[in-house]
Amino acid sequence: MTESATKHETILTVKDLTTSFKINNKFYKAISDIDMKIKRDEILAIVGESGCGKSTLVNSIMGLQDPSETKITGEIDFEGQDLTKISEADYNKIRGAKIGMIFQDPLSALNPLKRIEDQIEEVLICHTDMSKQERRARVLELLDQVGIVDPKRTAHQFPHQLSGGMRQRIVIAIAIACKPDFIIADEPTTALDVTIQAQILDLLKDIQKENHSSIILITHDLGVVAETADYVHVMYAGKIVEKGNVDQVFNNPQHPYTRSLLKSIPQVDSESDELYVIEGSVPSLQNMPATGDAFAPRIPWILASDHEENPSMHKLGHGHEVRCTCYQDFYFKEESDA
Amino acid sequence: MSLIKVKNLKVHFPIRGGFFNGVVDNVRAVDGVSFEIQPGETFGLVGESGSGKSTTGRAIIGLEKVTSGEITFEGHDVTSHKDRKEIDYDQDVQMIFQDSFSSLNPRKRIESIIAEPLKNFENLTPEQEKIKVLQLMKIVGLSPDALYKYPHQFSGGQRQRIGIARAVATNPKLVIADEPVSALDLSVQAQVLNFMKKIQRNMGVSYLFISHDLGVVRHMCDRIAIMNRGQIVEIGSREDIYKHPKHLYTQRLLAAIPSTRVADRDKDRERRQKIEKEYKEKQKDYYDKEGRAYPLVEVSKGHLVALPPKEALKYKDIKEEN
Repeated sequence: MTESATKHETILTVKDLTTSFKINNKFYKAISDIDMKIKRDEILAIVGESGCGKSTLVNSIMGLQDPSETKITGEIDFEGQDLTKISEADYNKIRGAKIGMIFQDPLSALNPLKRIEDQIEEVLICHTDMSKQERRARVLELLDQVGIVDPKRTAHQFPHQLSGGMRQRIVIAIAIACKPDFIIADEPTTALDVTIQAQILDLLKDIQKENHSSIILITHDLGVVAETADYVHVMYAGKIVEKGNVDQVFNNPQHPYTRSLLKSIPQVDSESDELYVIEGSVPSLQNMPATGDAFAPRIPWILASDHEENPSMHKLGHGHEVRCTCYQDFYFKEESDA
Repeated sequence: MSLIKVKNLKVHFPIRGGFFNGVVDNVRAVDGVSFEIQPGETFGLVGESGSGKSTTGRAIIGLEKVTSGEITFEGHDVTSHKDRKEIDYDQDVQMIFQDSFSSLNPRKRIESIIAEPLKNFENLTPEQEKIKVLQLMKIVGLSPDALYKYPHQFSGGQRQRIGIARAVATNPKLVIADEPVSALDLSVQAQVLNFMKKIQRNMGVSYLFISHDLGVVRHMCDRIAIMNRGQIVEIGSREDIYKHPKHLYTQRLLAAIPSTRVADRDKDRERRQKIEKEYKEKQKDYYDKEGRAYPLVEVSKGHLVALPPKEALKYKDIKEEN
């Protein structure tokens, strides 16, 4: 395949995805109306605060939820298969082999009773027909690739003997063992120190470039997004409220939520004493409004007529999309006072 | 006079082993830390996990036994527990913890949680106590109907505000805030930090602000100390640390913060990798054979850096000339 042909190939398409959880025999929508596409060679970041549904979204893609407690509707198209309809056995062939996953907490993602080499080898046993020697060689190669200084020694160690950064490297090695086209990283650096975080993000970027794979990066840290991602989806209350490339979202944010979030970061040069605070709080699952813009209660100074009843995505050109028309008339409260 | 003065503070934890389970070695969690905090000032203690920043805070308030060193509070020696009893140290120094869920008793109502320090230190009638609790709740923006609720009925940000209300209940002079916002979302974090600043303006309290988040520290702190391996490697005003970092470790830490400037990200990445490479090469110059930082040298007024002897000489010469 030529370089240009691989570049625009879509790997995953999500259409109108809704995931509901059962609470007291009633289903509540945790995420709804999710439409997204991820192309080869692309890092897509999904940002939002806790409870906005970003982890629910990736767990739905990976099929990690208990089917008796959840209801998933819509389509998740991965390489021609609809992941919402396939059997558990088929799913197992995809997970680990074609989609790799990196979890937030590397200590709980690794088995404390198994040596590192056995844990990485497990993926290879499940998904490849390599011989034992080949697998062992591949394990060492992988450890080297994720920047472990002494692969032979580390391979024989147990997770508790490694530092947090090293453990996360092992989790990454497991995720990329079968060279998947597609990696999901759920808050991969949240539990790590800033200097280690920088190393892990650089590593992820290098691996992505080397394997021409795609990454969905889930995070709440806007700095991480700005440094790593190509495209950004901002989520609020279970819906994507803004889509665009990093430049559009950070330099020309449109949705009131995105703008408020960027405003509340402590700034480098700002001498002001007060940080910007978004009024109110994120609605809980049971209190989620069925219609209307979920962010409207948090910007009460914007007229109700500026919000749509059933907010839809508006295309602003060049792939930049925003939900609800309220962005057109949005201003910050103190701007009106001035 | 400074409010609190910490001089050569050491906290060592014994490693036991061998036949009689004797002390084999020590973990030098805090290894010779000295700093001062002025009244009404916010002093930041920054470092990565394991740098000893939390242990320092816990030793000051008395949750960790001091191995050696001296802590002076308003001129009184408060290193040992006995000395603390003589002045109102336990009332004047309070703490805000990182995890607001485990630091609030799940079986108590908010009223008794916030009233507990008042019960310990002040003789109030039940009515006075209730009025005081309501005042405190108002300061941190909680509505009066929260009085009879339990901690689990609140969100993370609200719980952290309850922790702040409890910490300032006795009108303390120093509040030690150990990672107060690191478990919170961005918008909630802003709110909690604003309340902390407002309280400082109104009550004149000093903060010892312990955090790993350099963005938050820059917003909150007047003076900052950077800790690494149980020692302070650089200490100075906000400008000194962020605009003119001298120690290699400080430079590395600052370069690692992800910024939201999308346009500069390739440049930032290059700079970060350059400093990371430099850190790997020159790291040994900045620490002695035992892996300890060198003594602090004053490079400009109030800006102290643990420079290697060779570079430190430069600054000593300048000083002598003056």
